[in-house]
Amino acid sequence: MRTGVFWLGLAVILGGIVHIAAMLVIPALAPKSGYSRIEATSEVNEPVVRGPAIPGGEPFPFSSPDTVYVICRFDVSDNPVRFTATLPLTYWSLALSETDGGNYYHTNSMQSLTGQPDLVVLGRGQEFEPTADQAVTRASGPRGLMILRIVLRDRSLEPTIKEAAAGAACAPLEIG
Amino acid sequence: MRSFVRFVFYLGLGAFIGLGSAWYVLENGISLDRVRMGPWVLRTDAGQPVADPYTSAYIARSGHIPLRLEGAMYFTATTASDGRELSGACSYVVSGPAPSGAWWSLSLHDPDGGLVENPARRYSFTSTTVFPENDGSFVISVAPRARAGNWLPAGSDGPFVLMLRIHGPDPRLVRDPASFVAPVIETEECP
Repeated sequence: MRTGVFWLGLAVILGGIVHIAAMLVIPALAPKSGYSRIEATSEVNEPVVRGPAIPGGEPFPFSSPDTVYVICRFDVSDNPVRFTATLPLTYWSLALSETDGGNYYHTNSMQSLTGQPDLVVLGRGQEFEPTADQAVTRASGPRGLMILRIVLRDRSLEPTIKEAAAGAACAPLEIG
Repeated sequence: MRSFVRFVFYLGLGAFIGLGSAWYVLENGISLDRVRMGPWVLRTDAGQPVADPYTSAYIARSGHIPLRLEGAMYFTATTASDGRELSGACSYVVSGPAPSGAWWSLSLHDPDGGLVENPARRYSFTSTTVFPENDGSFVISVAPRARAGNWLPAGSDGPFVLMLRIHGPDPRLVRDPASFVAPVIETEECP
């Protein structure tokens, strides 16, 4: 009897360890994570335009049917990356996310001096002197996702906003 | 030999308990950061760089790429205010004060996060497309057949999820998410 309880207790402890290990490993290994999905359909430092979501054409689960997304899978290992776009008057937000989905930087149209996104992302040890109109931040790692969300205030604005989104740039910045 | 068999059995039992409980937690979206307001659930850690492990695992597995709370707040509902699961065969009235933020939208998704096809090709209402009441509040009908006013088609008879997202939320709401005055989801008709 005692031996049975001992082994059962050991199994429960082992179960706890396996449970914790599974929870910690899943974010790094999940094949359908947001980053994995983008990685499969985009090149490094090249923005792609997605959305607004339609049935069967969602950029990722629970994506918005009222938002155009510009997604850039950036790599700042060698150079900083500058993201720019020229948008019509609407609400937008620009976010940097880690490969596991953690959002460590966020700005939006109401915080921008010019009303336009212009962000320089620095890698480790890189320096850059921004102009008054530019925002600058340091990436949490060499790779990540930059996502510009542009709100469609009205359906009729979709072609205009998609055209503006297609003109977005996410390019390595040569620094002297 | 008998000890070895027992060792293998309990090793297997331990692995089953660990993996089974992990699967159950992820399938049911259980996490440490859930704030519940009526039928609405907010994951306060979703999108945070240092989220609790349950939320991180859930987000990674779901494929969702959320903003942290300061950027957007995502409230989801899988039940009506009476506690019954939302079903496309039923009719509901979603009503409440306009959420406080730069922009908001209410969209209807299947349980996997996809949009549901419907003849009207209408998948959401937003702060700029909804027809507000005189006091600024909103009333949206979620129903299988067309209604006057703000009608959001259910699209299918299956279960669905409502997502209310607030972009650029009021900082007071970010500091105290529990202060959110959640919209009521009233079941109107259910065959």
